[in-house]
Amino acid sequence: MCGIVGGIDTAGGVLSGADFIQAIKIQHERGNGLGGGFAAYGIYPEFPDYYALHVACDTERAAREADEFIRAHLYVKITEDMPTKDVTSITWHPLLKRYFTYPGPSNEDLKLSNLGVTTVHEEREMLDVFMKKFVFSFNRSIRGAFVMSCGRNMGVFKGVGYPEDLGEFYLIDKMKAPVWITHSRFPTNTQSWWGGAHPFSLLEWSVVHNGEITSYGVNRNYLEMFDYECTLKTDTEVISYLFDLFVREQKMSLEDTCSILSPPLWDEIEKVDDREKKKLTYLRQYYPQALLNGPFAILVTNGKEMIAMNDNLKLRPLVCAQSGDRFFFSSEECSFEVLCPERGKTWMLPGGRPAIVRMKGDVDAAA
Amino acid sequence: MLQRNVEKPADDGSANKNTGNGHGLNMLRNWRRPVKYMPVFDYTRCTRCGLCATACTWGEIRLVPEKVVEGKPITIPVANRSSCGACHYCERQCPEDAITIVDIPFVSSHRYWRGDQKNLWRQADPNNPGHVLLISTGSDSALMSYFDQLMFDACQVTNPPIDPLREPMETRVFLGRKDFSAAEKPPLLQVETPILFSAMSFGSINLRVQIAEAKAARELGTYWNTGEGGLHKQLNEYAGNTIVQVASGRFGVSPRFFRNCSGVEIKIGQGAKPGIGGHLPGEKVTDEISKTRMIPKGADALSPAPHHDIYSIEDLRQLIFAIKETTRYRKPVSVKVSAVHNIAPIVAGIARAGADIIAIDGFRGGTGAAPRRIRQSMGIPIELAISAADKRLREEKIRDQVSLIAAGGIRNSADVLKAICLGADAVYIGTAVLVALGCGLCQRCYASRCSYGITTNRPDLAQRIDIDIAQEALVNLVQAWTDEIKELMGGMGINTIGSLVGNRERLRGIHLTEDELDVLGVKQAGK
Repeated sequence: MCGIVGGIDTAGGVLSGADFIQAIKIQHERGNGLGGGFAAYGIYPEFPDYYALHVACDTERAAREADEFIRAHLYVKITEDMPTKDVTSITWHPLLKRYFTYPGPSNEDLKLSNLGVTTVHEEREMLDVFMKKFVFSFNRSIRGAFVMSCGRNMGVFKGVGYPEDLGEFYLIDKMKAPVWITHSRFPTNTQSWWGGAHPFSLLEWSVVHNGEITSYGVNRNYLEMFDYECTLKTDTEVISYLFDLFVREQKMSLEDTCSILSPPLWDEIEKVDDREKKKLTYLRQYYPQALLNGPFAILVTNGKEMIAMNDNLKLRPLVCAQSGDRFFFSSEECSFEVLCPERGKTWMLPGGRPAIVRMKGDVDAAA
Repeated sequence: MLQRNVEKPADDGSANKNTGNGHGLNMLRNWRRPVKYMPVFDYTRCTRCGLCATACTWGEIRLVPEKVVEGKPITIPVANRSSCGACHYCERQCPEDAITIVDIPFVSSHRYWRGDQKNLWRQADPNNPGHVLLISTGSDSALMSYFDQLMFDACQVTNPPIDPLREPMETRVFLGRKDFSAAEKPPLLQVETPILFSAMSFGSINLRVQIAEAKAARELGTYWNTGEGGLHKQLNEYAGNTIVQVASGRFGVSPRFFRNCSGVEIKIGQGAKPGIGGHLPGEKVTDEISKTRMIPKGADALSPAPHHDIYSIEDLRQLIFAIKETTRYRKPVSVKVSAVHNIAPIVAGIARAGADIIAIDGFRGGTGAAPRRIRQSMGIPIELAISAADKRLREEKIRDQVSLIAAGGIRNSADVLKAICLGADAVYIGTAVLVALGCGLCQRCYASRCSYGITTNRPDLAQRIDIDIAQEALVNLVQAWTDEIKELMGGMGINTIGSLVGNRERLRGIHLTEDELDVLGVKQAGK
């Protein structure tokens, strides 16, 4: 059992972190104090082009090694300690660092002309691939340190503790962002550690998850064929990698990606029109290893879109609410009393049928 | 003549009768052949109907005059102690339950030699000498089964088990090359349950059994495999559920054969006899077999050990593409190989050579006839082979380019699912098919005298198979296994079989060494 909450203002208006602390706190019973976290988008507008590395290091030594490793591979614009506040209930925390970086030891190495690419779009794709490899390599190589998040203009703040305490610890109440997801953990599969808390993040993708991915073994095998390395000892990380693989790398639509991850049953596919049937059949035929099996409710976002999805048997709770341009998702309806007491409508997400919310027009929280 | 000097099937036992040369102590020449089993008759139950003597095709039961009642002679069944192989047919046919098959105890003081003593006598037997010992079905070796050392996971508390009676459970799989980058998508075989009928040729089994298999496959939404003996024209109508097999003898390979199938399988090897060809003696090549195999009636049907046009992987690629060209790329091509030591790179090579499906046959895989020494001591278990192959294909990042079928010693639905968790997309069952039709596993298919009428083409014996009943039995078997698979999946909290393919997280090993766990990719139970 875990609790998840997410919100997006599709007009680009900001939502207060304090509200999300309250929204997840009200679900206190769903967690057991062994993990919590927040992901916020559009929080580093001063460095929009730099990859913000949130790094957690268990020891001074790990921090030194991490620092050397980062500087050997990346150009570092700014490095700083993560601003935090002492909270009595959080008795220990790793050393938390924040780096604003750019691939390549120096900024000059990565000028467009030197990369052999001609458009900003191509450049960005190449940089993303580099960062992805860098993060896997970092998590594999540096003992006692891991990257919490590495996207642009976004960040993940997570750890072991109740989310409301972690929110206070990370000063979440001072933050404002158009896109938020947050999580309260009750770990059942793996031991609790700071790296095992949610959200899980890769590049701009981050995921919070309530449930269990029983197909984890198959999903991991599949992702490893595409050079993803599962190093965080928790089933949830495969979700962020699958989104990254299909949406960013293979340029599939979010709808198709959701159809792969949580497809309709064969009986349901029989009922849809021929064109749709052909597509869904194809996705099920070709991507059975990417299907997520087991009970789950997930919120996935890249700062521009938010996806809420359940397993197709609906074995975990997930409710949605709309209030004007704002959409909210939660394990329990009570959170909406905090986030949007004056809401237009509230509805239960049906099993296996995702809700996808996009930023309006050219509003882009991460840019 | 290429004929191997093999043992002739035991007949009515006359060769073993003591010739009574007056001394009775003559060494070797007068020895009786050692027999392992015999029927024992309960004469208080026996009604002297004589059915058992007719039922037994092996000459084990003779009828001896007992008395005369109202002018009619009454006979009583007696065991010859010459040729019983414990097929249990007489026992199961006796209307009075008056027959029990028993082991004849063999007392040997030497534990090491005990098992081989009798075989050695058979090979040296002056009455019937000089043999490569022949045997049928899969290896009965005492080597442990890895399937038995693996346990499934189940959901408790953190994850709800799924009740297959109330929730949908999906066992449909697609076999073939899942190449999403290809403009022209390769053909896939849709299987409603991941259980296919393994290759058994017309010749090794009779047409009635093949018809039953084909009908059952159609009813179940799965496939049956012709084996290497060609496709009888009566089976054309089951094209939608037929996989035809091209083996080294190329029997029956014709335009009709390619037209009336859904997939084509190239047989390189068979688990029971890796590296060994086949031999159907001329006397078994009947009219129908001759037409189907496209060889002269009465001529020996020899399958060479290698394909004489495949001496390496690049030759296999040519054959695969020759078949794909022939079938206009509309039918997936499978390659069947025996599980051997180097299986992982072999499978990777076959995948790169263009195969859409690879069937791996473990050493327990069945056969109509194989040299006993080959069957008992060549090849490796399917559990290890399928896991190694799956792992290697993933390492080479080509796992989704090919489907894997595990074969050889799948005894029940748990074995099916364990093979799937170890990396198979589906399994082939062969011996289980025969057992479903009654087979008592006497391991003498090569003799072509099967009392159940399965592995024989003698018309009088083949009549013992009722096609409709046989079809029903096969459908029952596969449906029962599928239901059991759904129960197992539900317990694991999984509702789609695809989420179990290669999912070793759902298995744990017991009593296995670290190396064994490593090859299987499975964790020790408790970890």
